[in-house]
Amino acid sequence: MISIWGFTFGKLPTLTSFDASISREKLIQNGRIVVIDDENPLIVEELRKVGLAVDHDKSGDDLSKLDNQLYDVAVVDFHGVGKRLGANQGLELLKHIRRVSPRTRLIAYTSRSLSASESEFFRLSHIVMPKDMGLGDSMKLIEDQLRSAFTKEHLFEALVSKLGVAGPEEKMKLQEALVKSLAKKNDGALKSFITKAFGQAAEKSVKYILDRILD
Amino acid sequence: MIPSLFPFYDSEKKALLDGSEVLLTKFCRDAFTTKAECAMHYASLLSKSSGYYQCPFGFTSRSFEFALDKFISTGVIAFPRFDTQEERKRAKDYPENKVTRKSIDSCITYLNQLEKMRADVIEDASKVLPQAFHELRKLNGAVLQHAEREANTSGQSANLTTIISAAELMRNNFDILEALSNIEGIKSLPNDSTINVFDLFYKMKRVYQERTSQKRMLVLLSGENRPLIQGSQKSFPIVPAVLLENAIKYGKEGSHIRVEISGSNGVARLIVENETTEKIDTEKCFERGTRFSSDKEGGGFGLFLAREVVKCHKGKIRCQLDNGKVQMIVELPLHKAIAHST
Repeated sequence: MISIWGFTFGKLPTLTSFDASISREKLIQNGRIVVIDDENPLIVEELRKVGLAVDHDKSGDDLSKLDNQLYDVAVVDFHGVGKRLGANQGLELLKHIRRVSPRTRLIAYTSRSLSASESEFFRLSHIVMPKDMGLGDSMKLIEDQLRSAFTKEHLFEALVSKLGVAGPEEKMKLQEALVKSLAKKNDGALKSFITKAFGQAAEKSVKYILDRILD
Repeated sequence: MIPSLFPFYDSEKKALLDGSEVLLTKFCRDAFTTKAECAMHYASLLSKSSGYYQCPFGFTSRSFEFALDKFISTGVIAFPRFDTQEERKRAKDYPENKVTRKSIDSCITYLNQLEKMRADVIEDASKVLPQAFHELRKLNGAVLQHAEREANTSGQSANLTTIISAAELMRNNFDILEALSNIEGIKSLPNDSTINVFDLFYKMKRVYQERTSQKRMLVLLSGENRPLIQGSQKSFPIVPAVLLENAIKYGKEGSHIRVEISGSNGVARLIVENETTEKIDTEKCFERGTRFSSDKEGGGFGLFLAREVVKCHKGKIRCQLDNGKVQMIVELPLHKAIAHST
């Protein structure tokens, strides 16, 4: 089998093949988490104890950090937060984060029963973390999501969403450009592809994702 | 059936019944069983719009809708009258059955008001009860998390272990209750999390440790590899919880519960086996409300729910009997199997 720059001819390498194993130390060092809950959940303290950078936002009204795509993981409560965005509170907040910061892994944080609006809340999140889950299990769940936030596959999907890639063909081209950049360790190639295909402004809006994906 | 002051026609039983204030006349009672026109009159009213009608023998019938069903007050002579010869004759023969249309209408209005109050109470309860349920879950969660924190800080004592197990058991029961109250909600959950079935059973074994030791039972968990499945972290734990709970509840005191977990050829397979003296129907046991023991608590919902959750995960569950042993066998699409690490 002939392989040059990570390519096996005739077959595009998967994005997963570029995922280096991330140590827990690196996760703790680089991960940023926000817990949006109007109460004071113990999990915030526990996450901080292990050294993770955690913001506790009691209202979800200040959207600036979310809009700046600062977080790798957002733990979002259903009631009492996101009132600024509409009557559906946590659901509206979740939708907002999905739109502005697709790279953020979303954890629906509630123990409510499953009414229609809550089902939507669960469906739009990456995972559900019940409020009555034990601390050990909750920590594991959050760490798993943090790890997923650094995977190339997830970051690529975030890139696609943020750039508003229209069809499968365009998506395939973007993936090819990314794979080539990763294989050649040439950040500039992907950035110039994005500027060329989507414009200068687009490159700026996906800067956070590009920094992570090319890391 | 609704409470009625006046005689009425029960469309479900196809019978004429006394009212609490005005009784059915002997004429009506006899005519209903002997005269075909009488039964035909009531049958035709069920398809007509609500209002006052005269029966072929001169009595007044008032049909109305209540709680989406049709009801008929009848067997009276109501004022204002239809003013027919038959009616005048009945009024003369049965003066105690003379009433006003206004009094019949008032009763119908009163019934509708009661129905609205009932609907409002149900609506209020549907808002308040989930909130109460949510608060209970949070309270239980606080107990669990504080006990865990204490165990991490000052070491895991027997008391803390008991508290943690009890709180986790309570969580399982909350999940089961919640799922039972909203099967459709359970079906709409995303099934995209990776679940390690062996680890989940291992955790459940710990949760049910107290219960098994009370019956001097032992859960033997084994598996050549550790299958991973794609599923819902919220709903799937209901399956091992129900299977273990049942194995403990219906298993023989002092016996073993064997749990075998494997993954091969694209199938994750879990088998829970226990000894029992109960007579079990291997088909009916998954039906809602089916119970095989009257001396043990339960509603017969667990296996029904487990089957629904397994179905949501594109799997199958079946029950097998073998020489006094019950085997619950669950097969699910395998995501992948990982090697046994211990």
